[in-house]
Amino acid sequence: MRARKSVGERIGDGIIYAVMWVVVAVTLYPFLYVVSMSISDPVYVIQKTIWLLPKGFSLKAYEKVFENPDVWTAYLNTIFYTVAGTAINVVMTMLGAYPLSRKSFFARKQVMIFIVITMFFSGGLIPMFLLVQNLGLYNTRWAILLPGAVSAFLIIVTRTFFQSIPEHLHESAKLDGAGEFSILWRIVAPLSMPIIAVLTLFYAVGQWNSFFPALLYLPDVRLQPLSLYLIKVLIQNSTTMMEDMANQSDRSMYVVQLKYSLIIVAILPILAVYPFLQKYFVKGVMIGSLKE
Amino acid sequence: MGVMNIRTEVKQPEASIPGSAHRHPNLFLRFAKNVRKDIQFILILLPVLIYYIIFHYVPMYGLLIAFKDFQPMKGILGSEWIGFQNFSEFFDSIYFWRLLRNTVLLSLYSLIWGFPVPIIFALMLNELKERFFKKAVQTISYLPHFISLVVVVGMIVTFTSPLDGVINIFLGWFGIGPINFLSEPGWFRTIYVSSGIWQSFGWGSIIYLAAIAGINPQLYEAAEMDGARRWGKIRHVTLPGIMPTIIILFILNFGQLMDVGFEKVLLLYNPATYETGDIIGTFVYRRGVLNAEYGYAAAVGLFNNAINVCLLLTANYLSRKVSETSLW
Amino acid sequence: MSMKKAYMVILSTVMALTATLTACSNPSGKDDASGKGGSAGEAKGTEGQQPVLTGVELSYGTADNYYAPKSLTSGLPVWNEIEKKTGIRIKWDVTPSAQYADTMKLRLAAGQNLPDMISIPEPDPVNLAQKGLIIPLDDLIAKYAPNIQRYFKASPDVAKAMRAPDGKLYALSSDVTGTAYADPYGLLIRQDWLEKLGLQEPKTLDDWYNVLKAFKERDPNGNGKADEIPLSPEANLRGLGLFGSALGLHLFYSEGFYPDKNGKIQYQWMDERAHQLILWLNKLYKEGLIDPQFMTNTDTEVTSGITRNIIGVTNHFINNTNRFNAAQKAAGVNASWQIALPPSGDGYKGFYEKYGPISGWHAITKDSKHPEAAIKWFDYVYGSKEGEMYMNFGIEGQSYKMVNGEPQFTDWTSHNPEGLSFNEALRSLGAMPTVAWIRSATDTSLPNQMPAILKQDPYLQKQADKVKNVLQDSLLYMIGLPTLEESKQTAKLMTDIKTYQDETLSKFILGQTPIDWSKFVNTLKSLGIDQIIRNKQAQYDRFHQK
Repeated sequence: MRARKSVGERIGDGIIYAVMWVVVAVTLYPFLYVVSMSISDPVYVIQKTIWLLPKGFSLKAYEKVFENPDVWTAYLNTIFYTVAGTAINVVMTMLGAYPLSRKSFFARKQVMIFIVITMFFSGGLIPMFLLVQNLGLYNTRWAILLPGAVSAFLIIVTRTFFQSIPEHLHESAKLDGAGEFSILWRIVAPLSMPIIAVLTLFYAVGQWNSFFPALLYLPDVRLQPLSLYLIKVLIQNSTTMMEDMANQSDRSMYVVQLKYSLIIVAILPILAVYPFLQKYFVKGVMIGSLKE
Repeated sequence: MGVMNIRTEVKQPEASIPGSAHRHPNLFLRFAKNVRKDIQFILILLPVLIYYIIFHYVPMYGLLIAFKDFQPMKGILGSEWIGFQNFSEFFDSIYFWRLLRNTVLLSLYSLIWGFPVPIIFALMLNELKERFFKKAVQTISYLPHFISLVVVVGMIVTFTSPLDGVINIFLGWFGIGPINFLSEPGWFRTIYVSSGIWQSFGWGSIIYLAAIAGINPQLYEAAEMDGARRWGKIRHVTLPGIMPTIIILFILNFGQLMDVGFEKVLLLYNPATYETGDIIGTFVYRRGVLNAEYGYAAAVGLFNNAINVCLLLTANYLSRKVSETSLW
Repeated sequence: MSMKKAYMVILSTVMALTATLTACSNPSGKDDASGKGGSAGEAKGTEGQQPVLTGVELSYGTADNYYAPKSLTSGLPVWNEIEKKTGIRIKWDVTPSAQYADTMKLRLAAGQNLPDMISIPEPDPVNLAQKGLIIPLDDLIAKYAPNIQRYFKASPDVAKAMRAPDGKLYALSSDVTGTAYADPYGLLIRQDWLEKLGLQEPKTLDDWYNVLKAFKERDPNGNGKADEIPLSPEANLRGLGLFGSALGLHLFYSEGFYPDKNGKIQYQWMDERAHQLILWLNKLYKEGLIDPQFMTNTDTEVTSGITRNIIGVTNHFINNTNRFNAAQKAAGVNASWQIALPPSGDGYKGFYEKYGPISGWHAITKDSKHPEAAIKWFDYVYGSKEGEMYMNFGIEGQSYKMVNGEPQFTDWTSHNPEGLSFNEALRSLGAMPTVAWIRSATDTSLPNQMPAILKQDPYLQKQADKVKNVLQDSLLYMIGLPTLEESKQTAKLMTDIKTYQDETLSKFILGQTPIDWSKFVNTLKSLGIDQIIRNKQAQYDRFHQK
């Protein structure tokens, strides 16, 4: 039976709730600002006289995003890249992290260094570009799925998580005759749902927003993801070239609004999927129920 | 869960006859024996190893561009070697030390002020009992992460306007004269760092929440039975439970110190704030606009990476001495 | 769903997806960006006639259409017509304009599978020429491009400006000399505010000071609040340089490099007159006459201020006056933005520098298998009257019609039913593209877009007439291309120089540092400005020799 909360704890509660409300205000407000800007009458958007609530009403900025039928192909492409890409990413990350987390693995230090080096030293864009072309990946979907197949950073974080799995679970599984692979799938992974949820989230968001590889390697419009499509629709201000100033000086009014509607279009699907992942790391606690 | 010792055990080499040919076969045989023992690990690791070899190590010859007068027709390997010429061009700039200082300070301040925030936020979130509120706050907290930089900077410009920006209006109530924030070098770091924290703390707390979620609840029950209250539980269960994550993330972040987000600086700075705002990345960018020679950019990149490696090694070493968590 | 099942689902999904995309990995069937030949039927054209070729496909690497919703790859009317007329199909290898330069530079560095023709992502073609990535055009033009030959003969200065220091021509550039007269760049002012306050249009710097002060103090926007921003420049520090005309300083397009009467290039930023200018600007700033955020503002902020009816003076191309007036009208204000005469002073007639003379570079790459077809295509699109009609006017019957033998823009273009601006309407058809074309050349055998535009728009015509006599050539009209060594040297020194200069001048104006002019000049010298001046001198001399 829980003891009644002390004064100190109630003050603590108060502080925490106050902080949380400040957090909500500070992080929600700018988002509402973006939403308002995206649905207001363009004149007010240009004037920047909108503070919280929209002024006037205009969906022109959203219309412009969706008026080209290419957008739906782009959407489908992005869904494909996100699902396939994330699946590859998460599996590869776990495959990479597991052996590194086992003290008995003789080469774990060497492999770790091998991987960490790649976080620092990279040959740069030119050899990568040549490689993609020479491997025949250029202008194919593989150019999106392969070069970024896994993140060293996330392998390391995952390894840290795997290391917290109690050793006795490994030992008892081995006594039952299980091999390393089945330990990974049957014991380690189920106990690591929080980190797997996080990996899925991080990788999926990364794939969803990624446009640079597509920009470089996918000239074929039919393969291009939504992120690239959105960039094409958004006419960005280039401040370096005078000729760009001359060329882009007379834009229709709605264009200023586009950058706001693009944010909303890009984030809505993420917001929709997020609650399904959230329960794995906010609710917490799957481990206790999996006592064997 | 307590903190696990994850340092590799040091294998003692077998005593061997100095200078004799016996050394080599021993090494090879030992290696082969290890491979056989750990063959399952090696197989599991294989896709990842192959990936890194193909997509990271094969292209690594690109590092050589830093030392060459790169001609596309000759390729990287065929281009002429010019040694450290590209580097000295960078070091010769009168702004070299300023750029280095600005890059490091911007990153260091972001790290010092920004690193604890997601952790504290995650701990606080964990204390919330009401599920809906907890989930709602957590979701809302990461929204800034998705607002594009152009929009973020646009908002900063609006809010800090000396004429009608909210911040100056607010300061005006206290009689503090309008401050031209974005044109004063003294304010640049503050604006950069605080907007960075605002944008990233929510998203960054996710890893810590996951770490907290991975803590065995029985430990909490045990602590409670020992009479621990909220603060005691945090101190003796939660914090130690996520400490490996904290340390690893700190090491990794410290080892990326030279990688300041150049796009954000580019949008936020202007010549009036070069003094504190001009970093290595933006300087190289301006140079590239004039004449894009890959060798120069590559040399600067290599320089940055070299510093990062030193920082990482230092952080890892210190961490190994002070705690039981480290990369290796 | 149990954990094990979950993993099986993931695994099988991955495998299914893998199988699917392996089966349809390359939907386009062609995966290379280089030109492909079909049947190579080519008829030779005689002098003056348009040659007709059949079945060749050429790839063109360039920035995508500036009117983004209609990508060049979507089969635009203008290009469909041109394909019919030339028999050459263009495979558009395009990237969004903001990312084009970086992407193409990378492909050029990789050096393989380049498109047949490209828009050069660098300030000049000398670097790529020296690297052998683009081919010289003289022979091709002599053999296959009669229209381009004729155009070069009619506009020798423009042709000269395109040659590399080694005398060869490596790339074609868009001739924009006509634009400078029809769409000049200068200081734009709220004419209606001048009238409301009973002020004369300012001429000298003192006049400008008084007018700006009046804008600040006498509430021209009539809302009872002193919220006016008299001067909010576009292009930050560079925009303020326009006021240098009152002191005979060429600071905008020439960026301070200008020959004196002996033909010696000077760097006018080191001149004592520039000191006077900075002192004057500092005075303006101290008295609140310049937008305090002028160093950070982008086009978005300036337009925002204009739409809020608080800005009195800015700077831009005159076609923006329409945009400003329209935006203010939508916000309920009848504003009258117009170009002002450039500031003048003792012994200095005011002037605005002309935009141009050329803009953008387009070349044929080493990987092209059909350079003759490429040059013939250029000959049609860039050099022939018929091709240029498409570029400048679009589709007959839709965006223009012929009236008494002269092309006239239709209402569809000037008052587009979907609310597109003039440029956007034309670009939505594929006109005014991101390839080599000539906009209002001085060669009268080629169509000239600008008079037709102005005819539709008396408001702009009046402004253009107002300043046409005060337009002067910038340095860019007087120099040829730099050699590779000059480019490299300039790039190496200019980064430091420009950093120092921009930082110091902005701090002078903002009042953050006291103005120490001799220190400023001496530091510039120590950073190597003299070498840069020598390089510009060499370019100037070479241009005048030929």
